Amino acid sequence: MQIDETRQAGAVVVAPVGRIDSTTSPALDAHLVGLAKAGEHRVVIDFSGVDYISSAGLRVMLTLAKRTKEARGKVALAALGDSVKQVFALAGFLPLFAVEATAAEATARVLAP
Amino acid sequence: MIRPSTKLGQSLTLVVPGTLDGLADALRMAHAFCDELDAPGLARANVMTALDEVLANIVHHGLRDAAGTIELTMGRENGQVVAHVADTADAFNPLLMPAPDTTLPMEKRKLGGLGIALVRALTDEVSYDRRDGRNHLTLTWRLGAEPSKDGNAD
Repeated sequence: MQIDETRQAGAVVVAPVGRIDSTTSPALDAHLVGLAKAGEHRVVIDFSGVDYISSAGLRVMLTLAKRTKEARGKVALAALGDSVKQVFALAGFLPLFAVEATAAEATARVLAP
Repeated sequence: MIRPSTKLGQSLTLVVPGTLDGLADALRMAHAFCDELDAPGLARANVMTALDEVLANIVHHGLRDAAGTIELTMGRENGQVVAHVADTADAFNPLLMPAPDTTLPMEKRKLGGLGIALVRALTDEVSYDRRDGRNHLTLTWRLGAEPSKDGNAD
């Protein structure tokens, strides 16, 4: 899957493109694990290019949250579309994450002390 | 190796091996089918998300490494999209899986059962049947449940 990435003042914004399902989730997970290994623990996931997410993708998000918490880092999610937000809500995942309307706001959130 | 018999338009039938490659092929064809349906975006996402859950369950838990096949049939009729998934794995009714506790704190979250809970929530109807030595799951979405962009009939 296509995964865009931008860095900004100590935070990394990861923007997957397309669908996050059981076929694409392993690539996204590998990408995020790579960031953690490189010491990047302030992470924004920008969902503006994501059509939908299934439980395989939720699993990747939960592992990211747990891994980042252990490293005393921060995760924030940005620009959840209707479908993505619905799945997060049904899974009871919204309370587990900082969710912002834009990648810029989410970046400010993970950079906050 | 994969010989899907496909007929794009208002219906789709395809048989894939119960592998990750087969799953990817099935999702790709389902996506193309949904594109032709001209369904509202959210309905399309619901169809694709539910199908991913169902197919991934079969590949990862039903068939595992055993050889088997998955047959996917999709059609549109009377304002409904119906998907029928038949697999050759051992008898298993996913609808009997207990729903996960979605209120636990992060550390205690378990994801087992979440997929099928999503299937229930993202479809209007879902039913299971075991016959001919296969598991049959039928998923239905009523397109009228969402506002369409115009009033044209099919």
